[in-house]
Amino acid sequence: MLELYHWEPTLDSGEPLICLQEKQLPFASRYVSLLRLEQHREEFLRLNPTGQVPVLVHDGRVISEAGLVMLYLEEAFPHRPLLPKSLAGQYQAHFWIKYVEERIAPYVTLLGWHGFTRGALPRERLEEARGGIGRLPRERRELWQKALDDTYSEEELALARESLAVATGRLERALERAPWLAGESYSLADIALLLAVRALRVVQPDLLSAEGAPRTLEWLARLEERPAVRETLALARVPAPERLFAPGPEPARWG
Amino acid sequence: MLEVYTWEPNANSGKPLLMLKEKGVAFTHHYIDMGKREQHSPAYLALNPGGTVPTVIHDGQVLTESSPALEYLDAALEGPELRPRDPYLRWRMRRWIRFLDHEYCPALAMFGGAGASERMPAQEAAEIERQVRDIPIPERRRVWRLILAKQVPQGELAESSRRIAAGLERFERALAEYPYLGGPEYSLADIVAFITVYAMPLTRPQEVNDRKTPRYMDWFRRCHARPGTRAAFALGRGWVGERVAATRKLLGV
Ligand SMILES: N[C@@H](CCC(=O)N[C@@H](CS)C(=O)NCC(=O)O)C(=O)O
Ligand SMILES: N[C@@H](CCC(=O)N[C@@H](CS)C(=O)NCC(=O)O)C(=O)O
Repeated sequence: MLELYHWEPTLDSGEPLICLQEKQLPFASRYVSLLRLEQHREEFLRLNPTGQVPVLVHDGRVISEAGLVMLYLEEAFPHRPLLPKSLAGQYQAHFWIKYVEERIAPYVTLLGWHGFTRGALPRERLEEARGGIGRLPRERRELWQKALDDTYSEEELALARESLAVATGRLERALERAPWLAGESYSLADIALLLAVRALRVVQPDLLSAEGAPRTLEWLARLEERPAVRETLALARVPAPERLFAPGPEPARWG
Repeated sequence: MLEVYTWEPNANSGKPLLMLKEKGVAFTHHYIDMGKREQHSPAYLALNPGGTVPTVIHDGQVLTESSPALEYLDAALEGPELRPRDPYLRWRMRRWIRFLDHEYCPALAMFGGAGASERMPAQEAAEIERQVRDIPIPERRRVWRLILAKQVPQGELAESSRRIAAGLERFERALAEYPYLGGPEYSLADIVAFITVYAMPLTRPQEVNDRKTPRYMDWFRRCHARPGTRAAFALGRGWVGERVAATRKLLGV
């Protein structure tokens, strides 16, 4: 049996959701409301002590990390393959999955929380969050502390914007070379980037202009047409979930 | 055709070297001297636009991201398989690699950077800017600016120290479940870990020793004794050899 603990169909949680939908695998959905801070409750922390979604439970085994969950699903359920046959294409897919985690997700979540979500939350919620983070491992607690206090330095914010500009340039160039990120066929790499780019469109719309990123926009439109993507996005429980952000992976501490 | 561009058999540079020696596959080794910042030279940037080592070229396919490159090489080349076949163990292997790449090894690398920073001559801010200007990855430019300006933040170093110590428990726990990080067999997870931490019994003897971390020590001994490990370290030209020799002596390998 497959159970997926997830939030909205956005960056991170959306990756395994789309993957399951593409493979038409039945699963039990366990919605964890990050806005209600359910990820910091004891029950959830027993499953994933870092307090992050998504988490897949397959026959009792706990599998975490969005990109790695997708790779697991691909290997455990290889029908309707979502990785190219060629090793070169598979390398590209692994490359992009890592790239999202290291160079995109930390920054879109940081800018998204700072620019949109924190200000929109009621004060009591922010106060409540301060209580729950005491249960987190120190790295996650400190990341949250900074998010709650909104004490990002100008340097950190500037680095986040600059890195996202580099990432969008890289994406555009990759899509000049091939229709999909891992080459000739749609793959896990496109799923991972799709959600990252949808978030980016909210936090840094200037990076996705028709002049600056034509291939990326065309690729995005193509992806959003896919039935599995449409069905997954339709699972949203709140209006415009792509405008909601929770602290994501930690930005690289040493380059 | 297999060509490998790296610095010493250490950290990211060491990953493909150790792996290829484990597989017993021949390759051409091009030494990139990080001491001379050759990874930022125009010739190297033409090969790897991120300006990081390693770069591997296999039959025209250029691989610039080391851990994905290891997965590719394991599938493409002859020799013993270095990834478990079971999907769950494979996830376990990848979970370790991600932890090492994203959290643990950068904490260790910060100390390497701080050491290099101390040995740097004092320079004018304008000169530092000139030197970092062409580093392509913004996060890396920041790191080099800190190194050259001799300003690696003490608070950050203390946090890295804390994480390195906390990580020891994680190793000890994993090695209590299985003899290797990814499971019953030696895998890419061990390669990625070992090539960065191989000297820890020497460099952190108060924390890494037979009394406090017995399973980790046993893993060090098994990894150091592998023929592939010896062959990979033999590719070093600088300080790595001495550190390895001293560590082996301490371990009695
Ligand atoms: N490395 C993780 C990142 C997951 C992550 O950061 N999830 C965020 C949401 S985007 C989260 O659960 N944050 C909740 C929290 O930290 O409290 C993955 O790839 O799954
Ligand atoms: N994500 C890259 C990182 C490689 C990397 O950072 N290598 C270090 C050496 S261990 C490097 O090239 N440092 C040179 C620099 O940053 O200038 C990979 O895994 O291949």
